[in-house]
Amino acid sequence: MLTLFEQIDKGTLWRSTGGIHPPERKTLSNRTPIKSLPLADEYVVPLPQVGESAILIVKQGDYVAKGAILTKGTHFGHLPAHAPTSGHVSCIEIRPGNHASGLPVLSCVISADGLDTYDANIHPALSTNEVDQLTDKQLLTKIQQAGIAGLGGAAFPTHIKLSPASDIELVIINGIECEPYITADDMIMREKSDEILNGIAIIHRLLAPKRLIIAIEDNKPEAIEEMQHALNRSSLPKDGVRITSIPTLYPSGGEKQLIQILTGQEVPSGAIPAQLGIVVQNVATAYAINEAIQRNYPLIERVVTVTGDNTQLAGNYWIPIGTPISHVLTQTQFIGGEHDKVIIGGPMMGYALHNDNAPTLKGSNCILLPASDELAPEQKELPCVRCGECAHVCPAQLLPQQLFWHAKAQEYDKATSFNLADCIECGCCTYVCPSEIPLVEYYRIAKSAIKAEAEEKKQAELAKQRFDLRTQRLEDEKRAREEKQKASAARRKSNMSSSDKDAVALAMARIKAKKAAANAEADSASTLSTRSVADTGAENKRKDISAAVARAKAKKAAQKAAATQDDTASNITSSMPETSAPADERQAKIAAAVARAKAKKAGLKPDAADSSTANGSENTGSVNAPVDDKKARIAATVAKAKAKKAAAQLSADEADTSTVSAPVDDKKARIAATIAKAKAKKAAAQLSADEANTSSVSAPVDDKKTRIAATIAKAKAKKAAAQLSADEADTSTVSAPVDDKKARIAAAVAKAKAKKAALKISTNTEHDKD
Amino acid sequence: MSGIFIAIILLTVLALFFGLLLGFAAEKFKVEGDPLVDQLEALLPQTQCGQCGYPGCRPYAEAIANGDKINKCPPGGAATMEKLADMAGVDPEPLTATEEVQIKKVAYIREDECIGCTKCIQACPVDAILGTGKLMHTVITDYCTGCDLCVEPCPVDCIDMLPVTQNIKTWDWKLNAIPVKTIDEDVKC
Repeated sequence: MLTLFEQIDKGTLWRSTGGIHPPERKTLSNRTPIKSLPLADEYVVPLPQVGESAILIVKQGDYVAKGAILTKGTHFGHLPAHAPTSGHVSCIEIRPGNHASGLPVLSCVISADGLDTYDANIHPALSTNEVDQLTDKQLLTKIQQAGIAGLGGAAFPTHIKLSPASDIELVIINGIECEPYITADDMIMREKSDEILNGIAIIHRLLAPKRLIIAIEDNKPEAIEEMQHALNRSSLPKDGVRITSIPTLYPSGGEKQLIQILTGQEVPSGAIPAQLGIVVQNVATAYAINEAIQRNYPLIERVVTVTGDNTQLAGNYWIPIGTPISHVLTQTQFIGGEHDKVIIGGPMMGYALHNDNAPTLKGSNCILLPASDELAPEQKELPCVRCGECAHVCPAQLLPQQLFWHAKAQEYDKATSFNLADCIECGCCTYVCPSEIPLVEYYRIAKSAIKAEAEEKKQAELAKQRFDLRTQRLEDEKRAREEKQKASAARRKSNMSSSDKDAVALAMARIKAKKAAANAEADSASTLSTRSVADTGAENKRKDISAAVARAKAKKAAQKAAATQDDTASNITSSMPETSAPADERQAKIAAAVARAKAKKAGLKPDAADSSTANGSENTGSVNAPVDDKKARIAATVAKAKAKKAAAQLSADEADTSTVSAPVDDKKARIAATIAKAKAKKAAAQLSADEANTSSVSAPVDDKKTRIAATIAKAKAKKAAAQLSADEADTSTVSAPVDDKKARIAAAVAKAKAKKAALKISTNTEHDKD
Repeated sequence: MSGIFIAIILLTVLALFFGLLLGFAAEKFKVEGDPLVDQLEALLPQTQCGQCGYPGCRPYAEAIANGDKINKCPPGGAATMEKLADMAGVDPEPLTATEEVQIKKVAYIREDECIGCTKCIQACPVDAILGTGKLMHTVITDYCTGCDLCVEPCPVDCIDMLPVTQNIKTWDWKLNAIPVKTIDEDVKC
């Protein structure tokens, strides 16, 4: 069993499937040597990459020499465009493109100055030694800068093919040129064989393959001979490089088909030959590589076959890339009419040009100018008869009729499942079809539809991604906003509730102050209380009555206060305390006034004097019975003060409750009232104790003294109030940044404390009563 | 007699075994959510334009899964409608929108008329408009889905919806592939 390389060395060929033998008609153009055409007035260099991966480095009016670079790109695969001749950039505009669609592309139009001056970068040919001294990287850069693309037709950037990721074992130089009419490669092999071999030597050096095959179809014996001589002359290793003649068959020039014929290996679907360790290069590309390396001469011209019955000067021409096809037509004496086709490429794979002013491109190897009777006329498409001829000739081993059905029905996914992507659009199936179905047209439509669909899918994916990102972002923003709102609301609330707190603190401070005062008074009164205990000969009845009166008074005041508080609470929910405070004050004032009036009345009545003293005795239970009118008055003033205080306290208490449950219910009001009552009682007890003090010390006190005492008491109360407010101010600054919950808790605590205090007081009083 | 018992025991054991197997599989390979919605959503063009009456493609997919009509997506065109019909298992219906609406368009801002109000930026569902307050805005046409949503909010009406121009890359062979033919009138035999 021979290895693959041994078989290659023996010249073994494998059979490729399918293929046809169309009339070649190559002799039309390969009888004459390659000629040049006179310069055109203007050249149109299409710049499809500009705006995407490249920028134009010339502007309108600039002078460009022949071979000057026009574009600059950063992309690895970027190929610069070059000026095909010297002249000025006359305009940069959208011009009709050389494409099956006929769509216009952005082009740089150069008006030739007729001198054809070379760019300074182009130099005389280097010697072989100088070329050998260049590094691989320099070689590749030169190839890229020369803008060399595959000249077989696909125009793939050559420098990418020459720097593969994997090891290359076999290089195939493609000189097949299997399509009818075209003889450009044939002629360049005949005339420039040494240069081609030099180019092949550079490729050989860059890729260092184990074998290199120059494959030429056996319908070009002259080319084979020339190449063989050139190979013998060249420095390439004789054992690893050979020229193989391939039997003529269309489309053995296809990359995958050629690999199959030469190695028997099939390039997998979707793979590239480099994955098998194989690289295929066109002979014209090898020539261009040689020019680029030796002379720094960019790819600005190529051999183009101009052929067909509609030209009188059929042959091959060195045509600068960018030459308007109309210029070529005039120079080659085009004799066709307006409706005669101008085909770019061969009869099998070419396309009809829409506009004669389109320029030639790097991949345009042939301009076919057929007479109206030369090619098979377009016939009416008949139904498929399922003859299966197309399947026999398909070089890619596809099922053309199945593909046709699915493409026609626009069932593109099914067409894809029949490997539509592997169709090379060679046109064999169309050629053999007895029903004249333009099969390749259908496949092209299907392919572009599939491509568009894939593009749409990608676009949809992108849109979805962006939509999701946006939605996410909006949600994040919303959440952040809400949090901020919440935070600021909490701050506001805490600011607000700090005033609540203040109220609470105020209440607490008041209670404390009161307690302190009570203690102090109790201390001062301790002596008197002991004494007063001694005077326990008071009448219980009177005591009770006066106590009841005082209680009733306090109750009334409290109820009133609670009622107003209730109203305001129901009206204003949150900002209660501040608004309700003044109301309470008013209430307190009213209560005080009522109390005063009552006290006056009591003072007027001599009996009332008794009761008022009993009022004091009620608490201490130790007031002297024979009290005079003045005392009664004092008691009245005391009562006034009490009422005031009670009212103030009430408001404070209510402030507490308002923060917890703004609309205070009856029960609460009642509780508050009771508390107020108890407080009032206590206050009364204290005051009366005070009085008792004075009274007990000097029983026969005159009016003046009592009055003084009352005023003192009043002043004390006032002072206490002032202190409280100061305290409150302190607490307010401290408690400002407290949040809602805390405030509420504090309020609840304060309430509880207040309640407790009230309870204590009331129990105390009760106790005292007892 | 013992044969019957063996058979019963054997079958019971088998039944138990397979029961356990099925129970395990049901837990292990449980399908979360409704896969149909995801599949339907994958078919929609994701323009998020709201022309279906739902606030995005996913809500519409959910609505189709719940029995809504499949012909409410003008950006998707007839092809999408057919796929949706296929997926949802209903009959294809003609689209509700006119042909004109179905031409793919992208938004362009007449930049010298733009006052920089950012309203279109807020409206764009795919963040394809670039700009900031009081400065000119522009559309990143590659990202534009042609949903039309930015046109309405513009206070100076400076947004145009222009059809996507074809270039060599986006060209579709269909355009000039089929020549017009005159069909001979039927000749009665």
